[in-house]
Amino acid sequence: MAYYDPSGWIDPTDSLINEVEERLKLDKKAQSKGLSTLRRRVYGTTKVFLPPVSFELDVVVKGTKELLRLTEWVDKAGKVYIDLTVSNDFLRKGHFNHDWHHNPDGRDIPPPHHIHFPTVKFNNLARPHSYAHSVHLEDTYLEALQTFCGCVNINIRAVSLPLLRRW
Amino acid sequence: MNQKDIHELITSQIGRNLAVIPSNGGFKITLPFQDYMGEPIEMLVVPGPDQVIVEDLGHSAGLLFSLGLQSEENPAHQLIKNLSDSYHIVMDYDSGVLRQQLSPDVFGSEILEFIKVLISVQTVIPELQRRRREGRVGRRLATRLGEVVKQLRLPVEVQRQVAVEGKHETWQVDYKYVRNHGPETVDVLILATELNVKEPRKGVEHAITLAVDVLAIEAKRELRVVYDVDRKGSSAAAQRVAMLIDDYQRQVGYRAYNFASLEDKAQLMAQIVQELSPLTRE
Repeated sequence: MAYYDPSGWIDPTDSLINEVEERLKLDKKAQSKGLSTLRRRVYGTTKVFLPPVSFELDVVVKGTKELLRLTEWVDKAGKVYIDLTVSNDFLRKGHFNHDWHHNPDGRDIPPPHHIHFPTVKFNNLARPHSYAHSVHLEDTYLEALQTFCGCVNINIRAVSLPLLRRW
Repeated sequence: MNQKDIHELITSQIGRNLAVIPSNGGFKITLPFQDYMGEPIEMLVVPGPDQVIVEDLGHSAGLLFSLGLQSEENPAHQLIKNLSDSYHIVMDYDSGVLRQQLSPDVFGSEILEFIKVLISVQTVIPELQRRRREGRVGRRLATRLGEVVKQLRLPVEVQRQVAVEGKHETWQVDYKYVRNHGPETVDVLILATELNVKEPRKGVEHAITLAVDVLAIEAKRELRVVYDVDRKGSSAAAQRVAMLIDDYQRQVGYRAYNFASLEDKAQLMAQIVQELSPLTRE
């Protein structure tokens, strides 16, 4: 576990959002929702439309006990998407096996992997323009998860892996 | 710029950003339109002897999942379902893709209809959520409630955003914890109801229906409905529907707290602290 500081990737006139980064620096622990639990209790009898392979984890922030949502899904072409959210706001968005990303300051992030992060000027990760930093790993979705969690200080040792399967 | 220039400009823009590469026994098409993250929208085409299969690679379901809108009750899910029905697209719940089988004779025209649906989904759904967020006045009540609960530094973990089974439906509440009641335990559920919105009555309808359904099953439960209506700052409609929440509490069995009232707020917080105190829990 660690925390990756992406401040070196942004324009000097911009800055990271303290509230987000402080939250990410804190120790966090991921816990599996459990597939049967997810089906029965979270979604109940409600029908859900889920991507080809996907899973969701609860992430508890130690100390504040705040609950974050970590989701990972993979499309049929092998692109991996990992999101860390709190109350519908994206704290990080990991894109693995993706194409180039163009940062707002004009810097290009080469394929295949990058993680989006919010800044004061580009604070909404659900918009086309946001900053990303590159990451290096092999092409497995598990390593993508481990790398992502490593960058945002989430302990996933308690989660039983492999998790990605269709339920 | 004349008619020919405009035509060439648009044609070159579309052509330059369109790509077809072999993938998964077919071809992955990169369309000249971007999703809400600024990434090109993609699809898969698998030609066969009698039919051509087109798929969205799971991106529509992925979009719902990323935004937490995958449940069929959600308007975003409903929008995809309606579009699929209208354009004869299969919403395959088992594999998580939108799929259509086209005859090679009509492939040229029909694939454009499929592309139209994909672009609509990727364009409209993120905006549905944005509208919902921007419709709120100030910070959400749930967020403010969360901040106050956090400050309490409770000794046990209080679950946030929990799904709770009612008699007929599954509902989401903001907080859930267990309190001791003599030898038994009682589930305490807290629901924050945002009334400072365009249509506050919907919030009240949701809260009261949730209360009836959740309290209808035999499990020992208590429900606390929190709303925030200021006699000066809130709209007349919000004040009117707040009375509904207050009036029906005894009849339905929940307890209502107005977060704008310092007295109510302090009472709710004191109650939580007391119930979760290590002394009362032993």
